Amino acid sequence: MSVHETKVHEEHHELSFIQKYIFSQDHKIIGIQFLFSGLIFLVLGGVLALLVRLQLGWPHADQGWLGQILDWSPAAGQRMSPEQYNTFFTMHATVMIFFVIIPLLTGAFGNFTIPLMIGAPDMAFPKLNMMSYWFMWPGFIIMLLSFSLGVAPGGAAGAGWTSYPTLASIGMPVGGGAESPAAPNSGWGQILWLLSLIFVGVSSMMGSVNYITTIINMRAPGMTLFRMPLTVWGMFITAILQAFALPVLTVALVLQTLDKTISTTFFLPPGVLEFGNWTTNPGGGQPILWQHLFWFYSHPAVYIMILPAMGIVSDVISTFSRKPLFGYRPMVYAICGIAGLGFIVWGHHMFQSGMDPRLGTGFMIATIMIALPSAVKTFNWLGTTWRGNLHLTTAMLNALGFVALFVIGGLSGLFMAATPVDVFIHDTYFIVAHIHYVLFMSSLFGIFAGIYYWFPKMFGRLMNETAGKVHFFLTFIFGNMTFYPMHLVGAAGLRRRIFDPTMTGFESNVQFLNQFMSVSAFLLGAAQLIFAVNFFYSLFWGKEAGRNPWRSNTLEWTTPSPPPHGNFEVTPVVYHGPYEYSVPGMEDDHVMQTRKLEGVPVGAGH
Amino acid sequence: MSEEKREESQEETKPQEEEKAEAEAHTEHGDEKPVEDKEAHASSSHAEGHGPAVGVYTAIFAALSVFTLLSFAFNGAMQSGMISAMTSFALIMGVAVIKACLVAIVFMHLMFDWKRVYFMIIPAIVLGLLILIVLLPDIVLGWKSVAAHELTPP
Amino acid sequence: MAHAVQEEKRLHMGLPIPNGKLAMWLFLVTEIMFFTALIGTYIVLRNGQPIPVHDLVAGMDQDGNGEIARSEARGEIADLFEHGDQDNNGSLSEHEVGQIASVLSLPWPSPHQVHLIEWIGALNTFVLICSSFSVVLAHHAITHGDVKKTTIYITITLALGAVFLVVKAFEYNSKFSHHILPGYVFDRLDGSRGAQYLAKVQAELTEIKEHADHVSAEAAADCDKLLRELTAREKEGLRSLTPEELGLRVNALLEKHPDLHLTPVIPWGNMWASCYFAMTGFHALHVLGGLVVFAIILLMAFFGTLGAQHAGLIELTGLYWHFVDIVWIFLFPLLYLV
Repeated sequence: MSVHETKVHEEHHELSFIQKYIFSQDHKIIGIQFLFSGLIFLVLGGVLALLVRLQLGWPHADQGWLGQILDWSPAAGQRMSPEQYNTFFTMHATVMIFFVIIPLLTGAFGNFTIPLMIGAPDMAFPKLNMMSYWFMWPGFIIMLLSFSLGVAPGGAAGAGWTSYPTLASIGMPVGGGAESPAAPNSGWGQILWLLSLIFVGVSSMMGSVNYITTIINMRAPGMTLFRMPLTVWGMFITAILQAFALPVLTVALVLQTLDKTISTTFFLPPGVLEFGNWTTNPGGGQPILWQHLFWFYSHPAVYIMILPAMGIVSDVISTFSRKPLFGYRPMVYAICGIAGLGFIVWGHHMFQSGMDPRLGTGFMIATIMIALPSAVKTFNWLGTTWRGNLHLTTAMLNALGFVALFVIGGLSGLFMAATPVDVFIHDTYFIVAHIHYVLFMSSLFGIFAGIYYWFPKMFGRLMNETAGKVHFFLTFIFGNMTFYPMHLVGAAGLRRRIFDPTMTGFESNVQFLNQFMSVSAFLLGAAQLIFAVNFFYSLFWGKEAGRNPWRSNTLEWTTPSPPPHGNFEVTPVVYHGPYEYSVPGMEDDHVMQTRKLEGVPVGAGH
Repeated sequence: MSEEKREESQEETKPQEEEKAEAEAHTEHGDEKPVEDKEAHASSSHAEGHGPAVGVYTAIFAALSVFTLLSFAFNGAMQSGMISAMTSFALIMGVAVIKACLVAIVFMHLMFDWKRVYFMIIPAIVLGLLILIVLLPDIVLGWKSVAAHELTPP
Repeated sequence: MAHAVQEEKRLHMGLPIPNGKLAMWLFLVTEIMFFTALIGTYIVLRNGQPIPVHDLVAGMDQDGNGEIARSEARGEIADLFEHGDQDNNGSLSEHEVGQIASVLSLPWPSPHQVHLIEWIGALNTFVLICSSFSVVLAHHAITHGDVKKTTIYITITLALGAVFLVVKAFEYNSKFSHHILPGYVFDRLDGSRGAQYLAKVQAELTEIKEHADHVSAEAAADCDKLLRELTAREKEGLRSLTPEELGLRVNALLEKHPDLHLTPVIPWGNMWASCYFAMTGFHALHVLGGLVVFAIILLMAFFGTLGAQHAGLIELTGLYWHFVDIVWIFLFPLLYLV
């Protein structure tokens, strides 16, 4: 049977190299493409972050050879200019959010795991899937081009990743070209930024339609919604969030592009703004409208960047605790709850914007309610490890790191949610600490957990555990050393996004912490080299993995590693939920989802 | 092979029976249960046989045309002062909603497909209304943000 | 694989609709959000415009900004609104002033001010409804295996869609020729815009004077009077016209002689143009996309590959096309009527 099947495959799919690895329609290859491009941009985003830290740590120092390489003017002490600093922190955030975290979580893991975990031969629309990847590339290229002074004379976008009007939106009067009177790098750089994100948005939209269709309609026999692994649940809800929220961002991006190119004034206030000889275009829009439209997407985007990681972590923790996940259904409802609430809390980014204060109270209450499902998830992860047979593999360590640091990130989020507290700490480093605990320390640990966990399935080889553990501990330690002091300097009043952190006395007082954070950040960056070496070494010379190296239950582990085109030799039939570990009375401590159990009680509801 | 499968699928129904009650109690999506043969067949073939008759389409088309004229007439009535601007706004938007519903229900076959796609459409409408409602208070900002001296009337 | 596919059908886990239809509905959901955001933007910007002009005029004397000449001018405008233009030998009747005041006090341009003709919008609505009807008939025909009828109906749909775009093109052309474009409309006359406006209108009046045979005698006389007033007041020891006063007079002239080639003042005209082009532009792009798909279907029919197996394709295209129709059903009243 299986021999016959394989033969059919070979006959059907004699693909050239380009069809197989470049313009591939196979979800696994597309997932791996997303993985590699995401990791490459992770390097770029990391370098930008280190440049920002360099300036913050030693704002007055001569940068020497580095300054010479980067062509920083000797007259200014071979230091970056304030505009360049703005560009660096803007592009750091943009690259990390839109080109690293989202493509890695939804693009790489979504593509790779969804069909395998639900028992489908491929995505519902393989061609659309391929287009979704290749629509990223115009975005990548445009964003990279904007760094070139030849293309964008003022430099790449520098109005912050939130791109708030009026700074970002101001354009020249009719016929005045595309430069910006407000700042050199919000001219062409900003336009390219907007175009690039429109492409990325279209790509994500295609992906999300594909994911939802696949999960709803392509599940293997017996794979009911409540037998899906939580990774798939996370991806499912994430795709729904994207489908509903992204169009709104697209509208905002398009309208701002029009503001900057054809002199509309959707986001510019009615009163004339004057810059030297310039006045803004006539008309009368509303800057706060941009913030509403932007955060209507970008707050759900925060959950887009964490829900898949939560799903991955749930799977990893249950597998390596050799215990059923504590409270499977509450976990699912918690994901749904977070997503649902995620749509009605965007205003908490705007407490300081001057929007109608009556809205603020509503947004505050809704935001604080998100703590409930988040706490449910945290307790359930802890409950899963409770008295489990813990296997502290690298994937497990990263997952536990996620849980620990998500708690810190979540707790600091509560401060921001409360309007009166937010008024004090908004626009300080406290908020920077919060986002990095949630996005870097949580999402990225989720991504690392996923990479260590599925690497054997993706490439057929195991990653080196020792190097992996060293990488984890160094990342954990240096990460906390980099980001924890940000809470302190934020509470001390250090403003975010400023070029020179020693401008005022109260800010100079914490400069030693800034230097400490910068040194830690460089060490953190260096620690990632271990990961890079481990990744590429294991790719070629790692230990052969076999089908199921982690003795896990879910469907992807029934296939060969790496799985062939079409995934499953025989369409799997699913008999129970994904977390039947250590079932009493069984000789083995795991029960594959495809294995029928007779006379043995399985976990409630599965 | 096929025998083995059949056996499996018979077994398959057992755990599902247990699940059914629970799933129905909790589910939001309603697509928990594997679809039986009959249902799947009926659905894939509904387009072939069960579409409304041409007469129904024609009637809807006529209704849409009449409604378009109606909204035009409301506008005329407003301009000639017969009804207030507010009334005409409500009437015209009401007519637009009715027209949209007619197109969606009959032309887009929601009369057949509603139970299969409602879980996508309802959230979209809720979120759409939500964003409109939340944006509305900011209309006031336009009034506040312009001091009289900044604004010059022609 | 063949086995697998059969098995899957037998125990299909998902919804009893084809993947394509599910994906199309999901796509339409994203489109609903897209157009809701656009329409929401329009509603907020339209209703968020500052208070009507006459309220503003009443409150204007208290702005205390020290610009005596300007506030005098504003006082005159306020007088003008209340008592008519005494200064100008009553060239504006009380009724006319009342009319202008009511137009100028609108917080948003009326369709008339921006040369938007309601019945053309209604006509386009009807055209799209017809095309929706024909596409649904095409689907009906193909489910009964009648490829010939399907081809005819799809051709009709394509033609109607093209008619819609042609009408739209004429409408856009009228906007271009009247300079009702974002950034081009004179909707505020402070700062450098005022000086620009004075210069522009003076040039236009001179132009009309030089080619007086193109306009009626009465219109030419009125223009000439305005031009003399614009240039000769200084000689008579009067202060020159402010841009605001000029704007008011030009608007009045255009009320009287709508065909004159003069630049009117349209409060919030730039915002209106921005919203109008963004909304109708995106809708037109969607229409264009639909037309491309219809053209592909017709090509398939031309090469004889269209058959009953394409009922799904035509249904999905129809779904998209009906959605485009629904969007226009909302855009039409929002832009043309209310």
